[in-house]
Amino acid sequence: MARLRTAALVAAYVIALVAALATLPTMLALTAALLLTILLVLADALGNRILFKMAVRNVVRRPGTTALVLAGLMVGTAIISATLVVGDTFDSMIVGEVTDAYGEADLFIGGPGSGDGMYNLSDVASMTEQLRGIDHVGSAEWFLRASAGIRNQQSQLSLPTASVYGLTDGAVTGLGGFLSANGSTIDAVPTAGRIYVNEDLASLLDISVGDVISLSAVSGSENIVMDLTVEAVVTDHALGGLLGGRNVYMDLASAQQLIGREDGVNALAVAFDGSARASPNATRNAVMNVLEAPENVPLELEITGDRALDIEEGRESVSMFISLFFVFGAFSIIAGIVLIVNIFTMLGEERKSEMGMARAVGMQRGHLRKLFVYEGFVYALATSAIGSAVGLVLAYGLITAVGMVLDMGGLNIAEYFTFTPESLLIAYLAGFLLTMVSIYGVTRRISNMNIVRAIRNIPEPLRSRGDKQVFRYGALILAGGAALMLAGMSAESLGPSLGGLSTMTMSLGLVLRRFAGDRIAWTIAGLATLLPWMPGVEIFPYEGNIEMFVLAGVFMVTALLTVVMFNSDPLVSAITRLLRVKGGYKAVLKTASTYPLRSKGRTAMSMFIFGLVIFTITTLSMMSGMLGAGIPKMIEETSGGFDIIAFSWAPVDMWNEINASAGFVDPADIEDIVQLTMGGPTFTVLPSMAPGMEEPRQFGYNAIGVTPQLYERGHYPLSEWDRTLYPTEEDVWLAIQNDPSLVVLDGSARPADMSGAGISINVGPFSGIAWETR
Amino acid sequence: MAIIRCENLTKTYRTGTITVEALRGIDLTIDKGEMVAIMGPSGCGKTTLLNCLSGIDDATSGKIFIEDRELTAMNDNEKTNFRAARMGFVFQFYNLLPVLTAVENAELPLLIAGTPSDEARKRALELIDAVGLSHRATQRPASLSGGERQRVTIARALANTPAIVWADEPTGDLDKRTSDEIVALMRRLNKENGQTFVIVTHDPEVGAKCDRIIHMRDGNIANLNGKVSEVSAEIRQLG
Ligand SMILES: Nc1ncnc2c1ncn2[C@@H]1O[C@H](COP(=O)(O)OP(=O)(O)OP(=O)(O)O)[C@@H](O)[C@H]1O
Ligand SMILES: [Mg+2]
Repeated sequence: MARLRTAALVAAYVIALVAALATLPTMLALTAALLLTILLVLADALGNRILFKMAVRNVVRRPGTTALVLAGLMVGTAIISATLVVGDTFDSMIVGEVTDAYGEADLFIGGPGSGDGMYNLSDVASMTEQLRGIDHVGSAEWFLRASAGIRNQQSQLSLPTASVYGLTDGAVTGLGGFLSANGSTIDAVPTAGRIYVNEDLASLLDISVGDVISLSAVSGSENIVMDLTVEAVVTDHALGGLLGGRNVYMDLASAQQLIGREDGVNALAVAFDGSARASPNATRNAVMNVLEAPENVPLELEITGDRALDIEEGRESVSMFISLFFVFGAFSIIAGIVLIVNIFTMLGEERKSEMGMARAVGMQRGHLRKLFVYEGFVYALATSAIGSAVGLVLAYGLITAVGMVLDMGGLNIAEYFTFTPESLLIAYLAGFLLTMVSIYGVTRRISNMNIVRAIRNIPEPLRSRGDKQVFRYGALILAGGAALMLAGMSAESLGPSLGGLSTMTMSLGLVLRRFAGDRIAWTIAGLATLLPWMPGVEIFPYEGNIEMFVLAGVFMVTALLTVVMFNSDPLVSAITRLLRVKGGYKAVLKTASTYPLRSKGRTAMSMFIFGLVIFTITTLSMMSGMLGAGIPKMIEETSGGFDIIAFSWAPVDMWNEINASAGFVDPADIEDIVQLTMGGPTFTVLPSMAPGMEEPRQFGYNAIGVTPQLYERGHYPLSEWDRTLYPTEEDVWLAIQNDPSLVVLDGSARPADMSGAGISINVGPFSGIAWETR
Repeated sequence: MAIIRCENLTKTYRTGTITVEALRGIDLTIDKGEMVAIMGPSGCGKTTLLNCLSGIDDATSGKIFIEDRELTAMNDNEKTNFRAARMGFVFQFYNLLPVLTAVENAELPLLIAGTPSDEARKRALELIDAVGLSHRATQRPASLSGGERQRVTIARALANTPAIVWADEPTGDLDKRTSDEIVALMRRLNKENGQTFVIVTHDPEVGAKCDRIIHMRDGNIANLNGKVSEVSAEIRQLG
């Protein structure tokens, strides 16, 4: 009767579950799966009310225990939830940044044009029409992007370069429009003589609406300066965040005038509709086809920016961080599972005799298991919810900490803190599942105990040496490990190969105990498992990823623990002898070690948790040590040893400026000032100058006039130069002083295709490339 | 008519290298409605015999029949259901589940056997009343005295109107007066309901109240119909 009921319930559950998973969208399906599972347990409990009653009372039996169990069970869920939320946040940051930089555009297209990247609108009109004709292409609009020096006449603040965009109304709507700082949307280009600036620029130069701004750009040999009035300050989102810079927006004609190129444009923004944005491949290919059509080939246009690819790349670049997080998360989750198992084993031990009694008066093994499953269910329902919430808080703390520690180019990840309901639901489900599965595993052991031994509270005897079942299990695990290893080897994948091998060596304990006894068998198994993970030992010549770290931790800790646990008696006596413990202390040590060694399983589990924690802390501190060593060096290199680096538009006397700016820096604290002249011209690099480069290219550089003071007071390490001509860095600096045809180039501005003999590269602004024009 | 029968029952305990032959080939019959005491010196195997006969422990060899059904041939679930339906248990300690009240403990075997809950509650309250504990029905075991706990245990043991009640030193932890009350209670229930009682005891007074004494020595039956005086003399001497 009861059996039939259970069978019917389970059948109904499975059918409903399959139906839900097959028909509903993922999130609903997961929710349905959770609700169905809860319903299943509740329906089952309804048929076993007395068991459910006992389970609930067991939960609240002792507040201390309850708190411990709750905390232990929470760990796993909290870590999962935190990991997912951190992932969400990174994702929202990447998508957010890319979205700001692209506005509504999906592709940016540009080309060499007449050598400077410029096209006449009339020349590209028909090709643009072709693009507009492509399915799912929403708009294709040309605009002009240039750089110019900028100064706010009101605040007197200036920057050597800002990006200037010349837009048409079509381009404004095509790129998603502006959002003004006060929240209204702006869909039109400013009228001639007026500009918009984005918040990034506005905050740097103290710009407010109505200010007059001077822009200066070089056109041929001429320097054009324009005074323009700020009509609006726009947020750094949508068009306001275009290509992620400090931006000025004006009408196309004015921008063309600024750089002296009538009818000139140099960038094409192509926007896809919603469906193509979600899966852009086909539409992107269609765009490529147009660019490569015979009539368009002479234009030499190419895709210079791709929203989808940028998002993908961004995700890849943070995947390192996420996988690091995953490793520690995985350790915590494994430790959490062991903790759950340990807690419930402990609860089982504690209630052993009453459970034996319950069995004597007619409770079946299944009933006992249900008793624990119900108890676990009540715990899981509560802890998964708390755990998901705690994970959220944890993630917020982490993100805030990361935001404070890591300055990602003025980008604060904390602003992007976000989470999706999916993540919380998945964390809840995973926590729920982990708890239930761990508990179910434990209940098997509890329910299989011998009634009399349980009532009397005497431990179950160890499986005898000759036990065939143990041997068979061992052989089975050995075979499983071998299969995993072979699969790993055929896929040339390190994880499964080494994992399989270690599973095999661990299973030796179960297999060999029949012939050699527990101690020798497990010692062999432990040592054999430890061996492949030792530094310097390489068994499989494959590349491994970060998951190897998790495997290493788990197997090394397990193997080491196995060896220690099975040799605890000789170890204790060795320690006793080593410490020359005498008399009373000997008894204390004996007693102290007897209790943990009596229930080896539980002690081993507790030690496993400690082991993992220590493994994690050790590697973490090693890594942070390595990172930490790099940071001061980086600061030293990029600052050149100077404490303050300031720019000014007008040639001014720095001493006067500092004396005038009361409260900023006390002049008494200033040791020395190095003044340099800087300008923002555009360099044209000709192929003859850069081996490997086929077309002349233009770059907007800041040109800095170097005085001997710069390298005498400060130190900007140079990376590579012709050492036969200039033996020391000093000689390089001297050479550029003496020979106006020599420059030192900054590594970060290196064009990708400028490489070859005599030119080499270093990372970091101001570190140099010796650049010979001869 | 025999309700309990065993043939050549042996039980050997193995712990590591030590083996203890606790039962060395027991042949035994107990009739329906009998109230039997199993007595003998400490360590002679009384508890082991009771555990094997009731099916909560497995014999090493031999056959056990209860109500003509072979217990030794049943699987764990069959044995468990059989216990739930036909047997009641009273041990010396740890009898009650601490999270359940007296009446809930008493009704537990009924609920496990699938009796509707209101029916089970009614029967449990009757039994609690019969053992004289109506006023303590909703207390948990922790707040009951030793004697009260044993009475609740007896109420539970009788809940499913079992054919056999097994009791292992039911009075071992009680003072003389309470012990007398408990034995009198069992005797009365045995007379009224015709249920079979098998009681393991050290106490000659308990033995004296039973229909028959099975005298054990060293894992064997010394006398299937022993005398209180003989057994108590032996217990005094050895145990
Ligand atoms: N779980 C066990 N493992 C090993 N030996 C056991 C176990 N249980 C009982 N024994 C041994 O079996 C023998 C019989 O024990 P049992 O408990 O049946 O004796 P008893 O007659 O009930 O004694 P007591 O009057 O002290 O309760 C004893 O020698 C005892 O040491
Ligand atoms: Mg005994």
